[in-house]
Amino acid sequence: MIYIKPADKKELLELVAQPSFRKNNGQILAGGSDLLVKIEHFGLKTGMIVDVKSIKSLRGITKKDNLIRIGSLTTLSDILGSKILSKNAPNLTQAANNFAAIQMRNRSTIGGNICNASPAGDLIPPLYALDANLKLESHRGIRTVNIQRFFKGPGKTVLKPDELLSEISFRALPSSTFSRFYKLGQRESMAIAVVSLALNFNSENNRFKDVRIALGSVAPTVIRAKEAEKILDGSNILPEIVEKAAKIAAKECSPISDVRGSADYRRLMILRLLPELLKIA
Amino acid sequence: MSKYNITLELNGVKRSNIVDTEKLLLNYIREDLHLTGTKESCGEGECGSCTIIMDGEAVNSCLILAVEADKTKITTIEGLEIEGNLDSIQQGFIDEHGVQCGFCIPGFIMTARAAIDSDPDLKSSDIPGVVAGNLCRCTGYVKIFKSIEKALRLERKR
Ligand SMILES: Cc1cc2nc3c(=O)[nH]c(=O)nc-3n(C[C@H](O)[C@H](O)[C@H](O)COP(=O)(O)OP(=O)(O)OC[C@H]3O[C@@H](n4cnc5c(N)ncnc54)[C@H](O)[C@@H]3O)c2cc1C
Ligand code: FES
Ligand code: FES
Repeated sequence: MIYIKPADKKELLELVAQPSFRKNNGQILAGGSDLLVKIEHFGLKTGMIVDVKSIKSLRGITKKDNLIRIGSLTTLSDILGSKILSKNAPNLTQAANNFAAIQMRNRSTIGGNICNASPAGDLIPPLYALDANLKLESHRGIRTVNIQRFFKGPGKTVLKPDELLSEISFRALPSSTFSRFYKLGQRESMAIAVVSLALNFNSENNRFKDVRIALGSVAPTVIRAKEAEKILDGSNILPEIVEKAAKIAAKECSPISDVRGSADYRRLMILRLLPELLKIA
Repeated sequence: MSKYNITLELNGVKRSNIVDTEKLLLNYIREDLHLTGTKESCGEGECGSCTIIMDGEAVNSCLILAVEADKTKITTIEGLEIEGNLDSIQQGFIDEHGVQCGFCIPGFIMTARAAIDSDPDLKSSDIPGVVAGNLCRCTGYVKIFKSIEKALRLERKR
């Protein structure tokens, strides 16, 4: 296995564009917490590892003119410790807080969480609710893809073999926005989501406004519950409305049954948890 | 198999070794350096037995390649005792009888060491959260928490 550690982004993009990268089933290595498990335990064969960790320009969180940018190599620990994020994107901080444990948070990156494309990836629902944009770079150029158009299925994305996810960006939330994340796991720590929910919404004159609901582990990719959002937007904040929206959100899911829970259980949990997260106060 | 030359500082000693690119950092430490205090249980990031401190942070050495440790500074459990003086967390585990079979303990100690070093205000109530990524099949955790609390008291007296 060839191991290469490009010094900067330009060198990296040239490297992954070479035929030898594809011929060797080359893999980009960020924190390695998904990739090394696949190599060590799930028989992934690779002849080339490109370690991107020394590219410092890909790590960090900035805010300018209300736009927040996160470099793809930013770790879960960086996210958890960021005041910019706890102030302007609280549910992303909450998701980082629920993520594995310190040892894993110190290595795992936001880019790896997104590119691994698990429907249970913890950072993905908050990024859906924030309507994040992903910057994809290759030696051919740069394109921006909204996160809702990035995933094609479990483990599948629109990322080309020579492309790097370099940056995640979204608008800062006003401080009045209710921003929430909840992960239902089988235990408190180190659990994969049975279902997860990320919400952002405002209340104005006792009506819901700008409601964004993202649901994880209930479909082949994370989804937005757009029909439920429609019911809520502009409606009075009333238990009947919330209940109706939760029923519709549960119908928008297409979960599978697996070792962590049955499809029916997952739908039921969305039905029960969504009203909790829509409570004002 | 490809080889790669790594240079790092491990427990205060400079090391330069040629390693297989496929070798895990855990196995470099255990097999090449014969430092067997760092343990492997799950081999997939779940249990924390293999925790070491790399550039000031607690990490699981079973999910890191040895080549990734090039140019880093690492501390393993063997690096805590200085000239016969145990680290206060090691002393805490002795004083509070926090060890049963002991297999998980190096991992707990390294995780706690990194946490105390990076947060001088660490509170007793933070301890369960700090070691949430460390599993113990023997103790039921209460004595482990007490041992780390003891270390906090020992260090703050100094
Ligand atoms: C014990 C354990 C606990 C876990 N707990 C959680 C949890 O609580 N919640 C959760 O969501 N996940 C969890 N995970 C999964 C994993 O830790 C996360 O998905 C993590 O964010 C992956 O990031 P990484 O940097 O380690 O990715 P890597 O393993 O380095 O990469 C993952 C994949 O993405 C590709 N990639 C990485 N970065 C880029 C980039 N910038 N551009 C293009 N491709 C890229 C890699 O080639 C690889 O295919 C856990 C994993 C383990 C082993
Ligand atoms: S052996 Fe590394 S975390 Fe279990
Ligand atoms: S003391 Fe035996 S596993 Fe913890």
